[in-house]
Parts: sequence; C-alpha cells; structure tokens
Amino acid sequence: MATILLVNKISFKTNENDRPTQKKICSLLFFVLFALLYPLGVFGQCDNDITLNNCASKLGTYNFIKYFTVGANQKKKSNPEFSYVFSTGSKYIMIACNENVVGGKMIVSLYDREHNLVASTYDESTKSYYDKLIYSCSATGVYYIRASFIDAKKGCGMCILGFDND
Amino acid sequence: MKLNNIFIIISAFCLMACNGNKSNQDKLNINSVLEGADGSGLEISAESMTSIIESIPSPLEVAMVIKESGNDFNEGLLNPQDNSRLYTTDQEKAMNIGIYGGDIGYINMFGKAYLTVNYLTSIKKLADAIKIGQFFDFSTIKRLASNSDKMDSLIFLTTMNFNKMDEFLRNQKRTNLSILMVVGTWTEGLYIATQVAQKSDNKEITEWIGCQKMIVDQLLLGLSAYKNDDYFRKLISDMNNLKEQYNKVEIIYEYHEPESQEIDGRLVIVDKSTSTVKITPEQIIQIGKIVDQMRLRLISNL
Repeated sequence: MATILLVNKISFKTNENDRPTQKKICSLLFFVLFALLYPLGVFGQCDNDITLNNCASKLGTYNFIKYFTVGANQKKKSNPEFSYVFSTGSKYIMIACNENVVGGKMIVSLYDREHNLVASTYDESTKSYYDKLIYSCSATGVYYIRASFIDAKKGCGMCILGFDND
Repeated sequence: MKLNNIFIIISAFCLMACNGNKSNQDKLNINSVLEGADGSGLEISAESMTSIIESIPSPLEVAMVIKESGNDFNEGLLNPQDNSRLYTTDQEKAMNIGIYGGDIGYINMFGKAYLTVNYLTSIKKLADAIKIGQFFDFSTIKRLASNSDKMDSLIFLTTMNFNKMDEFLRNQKRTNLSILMVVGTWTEGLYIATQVAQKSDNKEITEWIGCQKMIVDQLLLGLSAYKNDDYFRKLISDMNNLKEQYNKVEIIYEYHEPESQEIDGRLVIVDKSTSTVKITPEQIIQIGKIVDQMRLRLISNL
C-alpha cells in the first residue's frame, strides 16, 4: 500500500519527458512485487474446503474414500502422483475438480502397478475431456493416480476417490 | 532524487525477498533434519511415508464386502468402548483411534447410527488427548446420526474427520502416530474379516483377506522407520508373524489391455487384467489367529 502511494506521489511530479522512465520504473516495480508475492502463494491459492464440498457432491451413490489436492503451490512435483490399493470386485470413481480462474483443466490419469496407463480423463488426440473416471477393478494391486493440467498449465485442483461394489 | 527513492524501495523489497528465500531454505533444512530424526530406524522420506499411508484401503471397503456377502452385523466384534480408558501413551491412543476407526467403518456401512455417536465419543476423547480432536463437529454428527436417511453424509463426515486427523499429524511431523492410526484401522478390518470368514465361507471375503498380503509389506516398510522404539518393535514382530503366514498365500497377476467406453458423459474403464488369489481355509484360520492375538494385545494394552 505504501509503495502504491509513493508511486502516485512520484507520478504527480513527473512531466511528459519523464514518461519512458516512469514506465520502466512501473514495470520494474511490478516484477519486483510479483517476485515477492508469488512465493507467498497470492497468485495460486486454492480453497480446499470449497473445492471439496463442491466436488464431493458429485460422488452420487459412491462412498467417499479420500481426496488428493493439487495446488499451485505444490512444492515437489509438477505432476503429483498418489497411490492407493484397489481391490478386485470394487468399482472406483475418480472425480477431477477445478477451481481455476486462469489455470488449465485438471487431468486425472490412472496407472497400474507397472505404471501402464489404464485411463485418463483427457484424450489429447480427440481433445475429449471428462471430469469423472470410473474403473471396475479385477486385479487387486497398487494403482497410481497422477494429476496434471491441460497444456501443462498450472492451477488448483482436487481429485476425489470413491468406491462402490461392482 | 526520484530514482534514489525507487532504488531504496526496490532494495528494501529485494532484501525482504532474499530473507524470505533464506527462511524457506531453513525450513527445508529443518524438515529434512526432522525427517531423519523422527525415527532412527530405516530412513524413509516424508513423501514415501505419505505414499504408504495414503495407499492403505479404507475400512469401508472390507465392511462393504462383508455386508454384500449377506453376513449380519456383529457388535461383539467391536473393540468395547470402555477400553478407551486403558490407553495412556500417545502411541496407544493413536493405535486405538485407528482400531475404533475400523469399527466406525463397519458400524456405518451397516447403518448402525446409534453406535456411531458412542464410538466417535471414544475416538474424540483419545484424539483430544493427542491434540487432534478439533476436527470433529459433534453437533453435525449427532444431527446426521439421528436421521437414518443421512447415513451417506455421516459416512462422508466421519471419513473426512479421519482424513483430516491423519493429514494434520503428518503436517505436524508426527508421522509415527499417523502410521499407527493406519495400522490400527487396517488391523481391525482384517480382524473382522477373518472372524466373519471363519463362520461363513464366502469367496469375496476370502479373496479380500488374501489380497492383504501386499498391504502387510507396505505397512512393515512404514513401521520399520521407527523400529528402535519399543512399541514399534513389538508391532513389527507381530506383523512379521503375519507376513510369514502370508508368504504361503499366492497371488497370480495377469496384465491385459483395459477397455474404455463413454457412458452418460463419464469415462468407464473395464479392467481386463486379473489377479487370482490362492488361499486355503487353513491359511485363513492361521492368519485369523495371528491377527486376533495381535489385536488383543493392542486393545487390552497387554
């Protein structure tokens, strides 16, 4: 706030000849502020509670198991991966939820124990996107759920995992 | 003069920015030190531990298998509520929050809402003692439990409570308690399943028990991070007994390309891979005996 006031104060005193310099300074200030605020998550905050409530309502008859969040401030991996043991005879639902204003839609991809791709909510070749993936399991084992964003954009998202008997 | 002012502001911001980066680095260093220090057993990164903990199946799943098999609810299989006063250490409390959590999954799946509130009261008491009781919204739980039509919401809320407790413990670098909770929940599910399986010959329950072979390995890996702690050492010994029995169980996996189709705007995947479980009634009895003894020791504080 103090910075903005100071910039205003400075700009009052400038004349026409100072405009290029003033533009440069403003651009510089913008970048400095961006660099400062980005690590604080100001441009990528995810409200998990709101997303969870909206997302859970899409479960229908499926029983809620857990949720995985993918945030703009995800520290380690750009495409985070979560594992879960799926059981034979159970039907699992994975719901991709986005609360993104600027980011791309979230893709949820399912991999088996050997990291073979089983399915994805986005088909790159046909550009088809689904927000729900249903998987009837006939081979118990560890499965991996990987989250990413269309066009490799960043964003906030949540994947809800639910189950039902087949 | 104007430029001087701007440079002072920028310099100040840059200094703050540098300081911010430094503190982040410090945090990372402290985190890695904590990761290494919170167990003097096998070193497992926080990320791997999270992966182990999050991959363990929900107790609701086995409860549904039991329900779908046509077996009735048996209150005698639950850990008695009165036992909650027996647990004095943080580890015993975390373990039995997990065990009661397994019971809650069984109770909720059979729609026994009258027991949900009682059992959640015991869980809340133990959770408060280890400072994770803040996630329970009892007024909502009581309201939902009084209405049998709201069972789905009750299941959602109680599952959420457990997820949040577990997440909070891990964020607080108390992963040792988090893994105990998970072991407790899983043990209770296996105990109930083996007890039911010995009384009713059901293929789905038997297969579910056999498939827990891979969970034993996962949990042993997680527990081994704290193997120098007495409580964990006893638990690892019990789990190793289970592992020995499970070594006789065979799981044959065959990979086949899955098929996908679009139904009502949803992508439905039909798994063509198969896993065949080879487990005998005798092995079920033996696994049942070990898990029974292990659970008795954990719930009775022997």
